[in-house]
Formats: sequence, C-alpha cells, structure tokens
Amino acid sequence: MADVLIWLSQYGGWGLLAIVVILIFVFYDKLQRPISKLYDLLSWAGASWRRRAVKADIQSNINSFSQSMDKEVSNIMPYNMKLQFVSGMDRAELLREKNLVLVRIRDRRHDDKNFVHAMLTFCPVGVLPASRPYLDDLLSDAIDFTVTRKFLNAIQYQGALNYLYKEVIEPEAVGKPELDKICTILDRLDEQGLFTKVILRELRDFAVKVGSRYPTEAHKQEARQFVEYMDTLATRIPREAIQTEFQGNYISMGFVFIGTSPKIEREGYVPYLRAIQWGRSIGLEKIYIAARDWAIDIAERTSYLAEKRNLAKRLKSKRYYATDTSGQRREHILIEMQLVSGSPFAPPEQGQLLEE
Amino acid sequence: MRKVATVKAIYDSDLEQLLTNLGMLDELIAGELRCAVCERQVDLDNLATIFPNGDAIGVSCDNPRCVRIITTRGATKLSG
Repeated sequence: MADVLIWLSQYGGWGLLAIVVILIFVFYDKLQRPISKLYDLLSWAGASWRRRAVKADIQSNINSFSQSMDKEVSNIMPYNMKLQFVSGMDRAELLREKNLVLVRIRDRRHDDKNFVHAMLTFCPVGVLPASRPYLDDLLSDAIDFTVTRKFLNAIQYQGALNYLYKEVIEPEAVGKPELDKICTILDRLDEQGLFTKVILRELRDFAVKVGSRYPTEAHKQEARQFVEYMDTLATRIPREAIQTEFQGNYISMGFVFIGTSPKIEREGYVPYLRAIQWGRSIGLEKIYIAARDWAIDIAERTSYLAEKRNLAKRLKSKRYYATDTSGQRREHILIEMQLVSGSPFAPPEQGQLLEE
Repeated sequence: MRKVATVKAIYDSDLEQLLTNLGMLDELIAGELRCAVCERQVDLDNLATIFPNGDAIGVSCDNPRCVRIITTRGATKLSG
C-alpha cells in the first residue's frame, strides 16, 4: 500500500489515471451493467444512445450469466457474447458472408423478445460448443431452452420467461412430443441441481473423449441415452433398487447414493466404499457420491476414505440446495471422483481390506 | 481473457436504411417479401432476420420458430 502511495505522489494525476485505466481493463465485464444504466439515462438524447443501452444491457446480462455457469463447471459456456450492430452493410457484403444471420433487436419496449432471441441465437455456439455436432437436434434444442430459461430466471425477467414459454417452447413442442419430453427431463434435473453439475459436465467431457471424430448416429444415441438414464435416477423412489451406472462408449460414470441411517449404523462406510471399488472393477471412469442433509458428512468421509485407499481421486465437491423427488428443498452434496484404474489382472473382489 | 462469440444484429432504427442498402425496401413495402420458413408475408413490423440465401437475400418473420430455425443455421462467428 505504501509503495502505491509513494508511486502516486511521484506521478500524481497521471498515476491515478493509469490505475483507473488498468482497473477498467481488468473489470471491464463487471462494468458493463453500470455502463448500460448510464446509457439508459442518456437514451432520450437519440437512437444511438438507445442502441448502446440495449446492447450493453443484453451483453452484460448474458455474459455475467455465462461466466457464472462457467465458474460452476468450466468450459460449458466458454465464450462471452458480443452483440455487434450492423447498419451500413450493402448487398455484396452480406452475400459474401455465407453463414451470417442478422437478428433484429427492437426498441426497449420489446426487451422481452430481445433477450429471448439474443440468448437463443447465442446458445448454439455459447453452450457446449464442442459437443454440438454429437447431439441430436432435439437434445440440442432442449438444452438451449433449458439454459435460456435458467438465464431468464437468474435475471428474474418474468415477461421474457412468459414469452419463452408461450411463444417459443409451447408452439415448438406441439408437433414434437419428444422435445417436450426432453425439456421436461432437463427441467426436472435442473430442479434437482443435476443439469449443470452432471448433464452439462458429462456432455462437455463426452466431446473431449470423442475428439474430432466424424459425428455419427451412435454418438447422438449415446448422449440421448445418458440423459434418459439420468432421468431414471432423478425420478427414483427412495430405497428403490435401480441401475446406478451408465457405461457407454464414451460416457462412463456411476452414482453412489449415501443411504439410510440403519444401514450406516449397521455397516458404516463399507458398502459405499465397496460400491466405488465395484465401479472401478467394471471399468467405470467416474463416480459421483450424492447425499443430503445429515448424510453429507458421511459422503465427505466416504470420499476421503476412497481417496486414501487409492480407489478414486476427488475432483470436485459442491454443496447446494435443491428440490428432491418429494418436492422438499434440502441441502445436497455432490462429490465428483475420478476412479483410479486397478490392476487389469486383479479379480473385482481382490484388493485391500476396506474397513478402517 | 474469455473468447468472444459475435452475434450480428440490426437495431430497429437502422432497419430501413439497411433494407435500402440491400435494395429490398421497395419489395418489402410492396408486400413481395416472404418468410423463408413459413412463407408468411413479411413487412416492417414483423421482419426478424436477414441472411444470405444462396445468391439472394432471405428474410424471416418474427414467429419465434422461424427465427430459431434461421439462427441455428449458424448465426454467429467465433473470434478471439
């Protein structure tokens, strides 16, 4: 701090100006919202100020949402959106840009439409860009609708949400019952906190594993089957025995649900560690340990023991509030663990004693 | 620094000028322009997108379904 003061006294106003310029450069994204308010105040002065206000408002909201999504799971929304207004383009220029689409942005009184159209235009390149070629059109559309709904919810824009439901999703779903079904599944998964943390994360990794292979129907089917598998988990009845692993050609993961208290009192952490060991033996690559309320500490302990026994490496742990299958809002934890591959010749049951 | 995806847009107040530059304003006023998706007549009120369509220039109406079909063709260019 003292150094800064000395530097300021030495360089005076120019030093202060340099610091302000650096701060503006570093925090440019965060300054977009106040800048849009400033433009709004000046919008009576002419169309160019109104244009700037609309642009700054849409950009700042979409970019702040996109950054928050990317912070939760990196690289699911890796781009900022830049809204570039075109006015002086002639016919030859337009025809040269084969993939260009100019989207009309209306005056502020149509902001609900502006936000929905801008976000839906941004989604195909802004959300999971590398995975898109490997997703079928219906799943791609459903992801765009879910992300746009999340965005409008985040900025609490009820008018735009109504427009999205009534004018975009409902008419689109009328002739496509499959789309309606996938939108419902993604909505349910989002309510349970699994859309961003698991679906988008796994589809992101899916593209990395597929690499740059030519997209085939098999890729699209695997992505769709994965979403349907996640729905069976999201709609399961407590204590119902269901398949907890998904093993596709590229997506390979499973869930360990930390269960009921009598089981924990009777057997401790052993069944959960055994489930992780079993997942490893059948070649799963990743395990998510899921728990809620009082079982959160047990989930933490299980992941600690799994790491200690070299069964799996802890990648990320996230506590969050979400609605469960019975409609109650409760605290949850989701721990993502990369399974450590064992000896290829060891039988599944072989291994170190799991009990402490 | 995050990469940037550019969405190109036309603001309401610049629309007529752009249509004049593209030589489409007279056609639009005469009611000769049709939505490339649903073939509904497009006018100044319901025009929503403008895009190159082969050797011609296409437009779409503001029906969200039409806008969506046109924009998912690849409305943005990546840079940065």
